[in-house]
Amino acid sequence: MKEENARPVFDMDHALDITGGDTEFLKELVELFNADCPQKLNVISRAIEDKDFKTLDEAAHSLKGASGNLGLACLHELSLKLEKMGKSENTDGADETFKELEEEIERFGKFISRPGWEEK
Amino acid sequence: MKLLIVEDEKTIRMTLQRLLETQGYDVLAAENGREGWEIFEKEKDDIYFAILDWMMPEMNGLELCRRIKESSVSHYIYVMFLTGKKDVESIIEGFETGADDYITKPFNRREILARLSVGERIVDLEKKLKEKNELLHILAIKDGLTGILNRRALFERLEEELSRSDRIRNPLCLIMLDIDHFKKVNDVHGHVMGDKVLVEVVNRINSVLRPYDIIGRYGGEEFLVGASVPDPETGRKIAERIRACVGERPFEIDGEHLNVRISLSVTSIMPSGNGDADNILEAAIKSADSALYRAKEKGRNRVECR
Repeated sequence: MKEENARPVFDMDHALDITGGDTEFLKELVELFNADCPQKLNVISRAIEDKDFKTLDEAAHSLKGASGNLGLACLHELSLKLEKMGKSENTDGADETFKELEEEIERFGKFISRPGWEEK
Repeated sequence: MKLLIVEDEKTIRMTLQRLLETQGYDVLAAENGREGWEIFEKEKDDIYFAILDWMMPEMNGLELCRRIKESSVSHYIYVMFLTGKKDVESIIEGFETGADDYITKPFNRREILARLSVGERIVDLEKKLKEKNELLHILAIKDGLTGILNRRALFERLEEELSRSDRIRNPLCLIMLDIDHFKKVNDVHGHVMGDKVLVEVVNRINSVLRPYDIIGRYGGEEFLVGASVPDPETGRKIAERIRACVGERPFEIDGEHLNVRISLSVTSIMPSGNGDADNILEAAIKSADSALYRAKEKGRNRVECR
């Protein structure tokens, strides 16, 4: 994890807004999201490798929606970048972006492993 | 009133469902367009709102929106897109497919609720409009005083019934009746009393008719009854029964006792199979008119057959 990435993993205001301040529910959603991540990353990585633009577009779009919903701002931005690559059928720089995505997911994983992360 | 959520991303679907349920919405949730359509077809009579994601496997939200808007449902269904597609072309396409609103992800809790309340206003307006229309329809076909069919609606119903009788090869019996010396009731007791007499005459006639017989107000104190009968003799019997039920005992209105009598004519329209209901009915009414005139000539309070 890079120290220079000072941006918060969570936009807590957003996360608490959509869950109505219910931190237990937020934790439940985050667990579900986290459990889905490896599979989503797999699909994206293979799509980049195969230059399967349609799949890249769809998978990145799906990750973008889910991360945006939870207020995972950095993840949301990175998946948006990959979605655009899929749409424009140009994967220049996709490997770097994917790497950043992996790192961000790792950072997210660490963040939610700390007890009390959901307290603002 | 149910609300349908169709969203393939589980965490978003759960977020929405929880949010809307805590606001009192009765939520149905589906995880792709095809499943959404299946639920919709089963529950469409109760579904008033739909929130659709666009990009989904099996059937996308655009196709689902199109199907929902084209389905035959008796009420308005307010459809919102909730999607990550933010470009203007998509937004326009969404609206052109029939969507009522378009929200982009990530959504804000208060915004989505505010937008849904716009949907509730529309649904509510449509419901009120429909109720008013039904009321107007009733006013358009009914005689305001007696509640039976007015002249125009009566003719429409009789034409329909004539075609039906023709099809099943039954005669249609037309009974025309007129209150004897009704002018005198108005002159002696006033028009308020006259109106009450008309209402009571209709009540009494209705009490001897079958639910599917037709009765309407033909003119001031003139009424027409249409009944599909097995033979003309049955028609004459119905007319006699009507005459008896009106005249057999005096009307008690506002403490006064009035003897009311009616004259009637019976015309049977035999099935012809030529289908020209309009002209056949006109001719039958003409002959019913002249037969009624004869009943009056012959001393009133009687049934005259053509």
